[in-house]
Amino acid sequence: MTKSTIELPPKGGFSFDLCKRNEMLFKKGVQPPSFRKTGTTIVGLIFQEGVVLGADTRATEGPIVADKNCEKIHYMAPNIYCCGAGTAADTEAVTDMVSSQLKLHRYHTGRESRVVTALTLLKSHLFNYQGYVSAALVLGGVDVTGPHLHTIYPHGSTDTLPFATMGSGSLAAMSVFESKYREGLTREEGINLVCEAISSGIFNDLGSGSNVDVCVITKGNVEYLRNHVLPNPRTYTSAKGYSFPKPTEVLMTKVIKLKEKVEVIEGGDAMEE
Amino acid sequence: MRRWLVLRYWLLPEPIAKITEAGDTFRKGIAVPHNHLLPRRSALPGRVHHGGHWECWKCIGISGKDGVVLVGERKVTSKLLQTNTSAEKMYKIDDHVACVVAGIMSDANILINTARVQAQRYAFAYQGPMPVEQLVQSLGDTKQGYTQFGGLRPFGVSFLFAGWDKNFGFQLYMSDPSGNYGGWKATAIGANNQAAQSMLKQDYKDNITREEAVQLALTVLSKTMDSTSLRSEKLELAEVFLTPSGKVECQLHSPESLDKLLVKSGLTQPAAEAS
Amino acid sequence: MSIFEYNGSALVAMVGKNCFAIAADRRLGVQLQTIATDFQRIYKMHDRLFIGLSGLATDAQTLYQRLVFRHKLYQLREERDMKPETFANLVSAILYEKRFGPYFCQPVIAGLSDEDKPFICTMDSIGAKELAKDFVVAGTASESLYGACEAMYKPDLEPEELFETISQALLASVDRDCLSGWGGHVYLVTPTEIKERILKGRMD
Repeated sequence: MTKSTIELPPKGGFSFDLCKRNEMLFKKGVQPPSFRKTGTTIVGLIFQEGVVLGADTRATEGPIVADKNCEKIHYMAPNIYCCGAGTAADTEAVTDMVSSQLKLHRYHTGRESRVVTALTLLKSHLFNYQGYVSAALVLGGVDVTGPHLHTIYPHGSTDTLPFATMGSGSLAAMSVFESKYREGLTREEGINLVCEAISSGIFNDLGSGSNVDVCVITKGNVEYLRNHVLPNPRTYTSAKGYSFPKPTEVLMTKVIKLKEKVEVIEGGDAMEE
Repeated sequence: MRRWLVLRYWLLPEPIAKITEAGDTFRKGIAVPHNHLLPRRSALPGRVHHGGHWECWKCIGISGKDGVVLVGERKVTSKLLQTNTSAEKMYKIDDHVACVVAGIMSDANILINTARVQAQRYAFAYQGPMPVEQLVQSLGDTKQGYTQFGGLRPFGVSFLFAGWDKNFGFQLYMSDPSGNYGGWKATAIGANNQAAQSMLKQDYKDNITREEAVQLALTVLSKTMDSTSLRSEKLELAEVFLTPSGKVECQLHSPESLDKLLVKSGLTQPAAEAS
Repeated sequence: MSIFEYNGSALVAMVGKNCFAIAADRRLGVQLQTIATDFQRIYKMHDRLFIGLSGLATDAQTLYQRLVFRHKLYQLREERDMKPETFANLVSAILYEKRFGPYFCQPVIAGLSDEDKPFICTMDSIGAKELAKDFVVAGTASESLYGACEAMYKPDLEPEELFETISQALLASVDRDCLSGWGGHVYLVTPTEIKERILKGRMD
């Protein structure tokens, strides 16, 4: 039993305990595991007053659709959001971690977070891990210096763009942006263009699917439009449900009655668990 | 060594210096009555009413053939002090061990945390509950370390542990700030514990039942307390026993059930008559 | 061969009306050889919270022991049971800590909140949470389970209907998976009671 297995509280950071064993297993011919990916279409664009971010809602594990309605637009700060593509656990973890760093930074400085701060924290983490933390991100927000949109690649390189796409559906989405984006879009036009780009990903890229999530960030205001467009509703479901002609054969049944929530045993309460 | 001790006297508030002194005495192998180990009320002029942290409670533990009882005196220091309705100084260490604390609560919190972690580490490694004595000893080891190595003061805490394990059944242990511990049939710690000890010595009988143990503990507590009437808000009571299904359980009494117990034991009048 | 297919497993959890069910197969194998037919894959954390661990059995048991350790300390310190959401975050954090050398385990978590609201969730082996409103599946039979559940599931089922649905979905799915089967183990949890049932299935 290694000490780190039961160390408390956890100090954070990765543990490489099982790496040697796993490597041995892979050398013996077992395949490394596949992780849940967000084979994804994520986009962002800058319009007149701010930034619009968009994402599809499909999560995949190989060819299997693991989640039909997942959330890919992550909260970073009240004025900054971030779309994630790549390994789902990595995008989730990296955005959570940086958002907590940003919060601490806000407490420290008493000022609103800037998008570049988030950008730097994200890219330095990703650069440190040489691309092994596979998160491809579209970061957008409005701060004291105006609206900003960035893309971040898993290795830590970044771009600053007026419109951006990422993920497996990025080409489909980019074709829409390239033909229709122009400077000074209104809010309505911006949202519609983002929806069109995501839809293009949903219908032309097999890694993307289901619904369109949109997040509109303007100065001092955020509108998170979860499932803004639902182009793929579930059809052909029977309202009556499914009936089973023959019930399952049960070999053994054990019933444990649960106690009332406020429990009074004769003589006193059980010492709280 | 001597110089180190003097330095401590300079730097620390008085009650802690007293504990350091006690720890030092223990190192020389001289037994010190337990009430010397703890901050006495007289040593703290003006701070007596300062929350529960410096308070020196009296705690009594009695082990019987079918369970162990822990009783703690609770001092109502101020009307304004927000008191926990359930337990202030009774803690569950694991499913099979409970303890009561006398001394500096901030120190106790650290030790209780290490005891809980220790118990869970044992359970993780061996997939079973930690033997009670081993748990008490591991905590004693932690305490001992702070009496031996320079630069730190000892933990100003005494504990009573009540527990059950399958090898030795019901057990009661007392552990003091030096890390010393011992198993007892019945004992008391905290303020005025000597009076309680001698009463216990007189009235304790072997093979006492849990019910009798509760009765004895309450009687001893009421007779050694400053005030005359024993009321439910002035004490805490926990029992460790086996359920009919053979599972060990720690039970902490609610104020209502304490009132019932007190009336039953004749230590207080029923509420209707009292008012 | 993928390491997830070494022991074989099938896990599924479903949400009903103020209740949930979690079910698993009972086979433990070493590749195609069956070792045990009464294997426990679902563990109870407290009365209203269950976790099923699919994947490599050795990792599942170690992971479970670590979870018990952390959960027990939480109970002692906070003097209350862990909420299912909190527990899911704990499992996720423990798994992600081993991002570059993971436990070969895919957990399924099911619980009832304090307000009797059911919660189900699954993760991959590095802790990417998937919160679903209807059902979650894991294990070697997951592909057939997806199909069976998509067809048979309907929202707001009463407890006994839910039991029948999850049982039928599980048994139908493991029949199309060589690596899992030998009957099923179902926990049906309502605000007032836990019903644990052993299902009869094919023995090949």
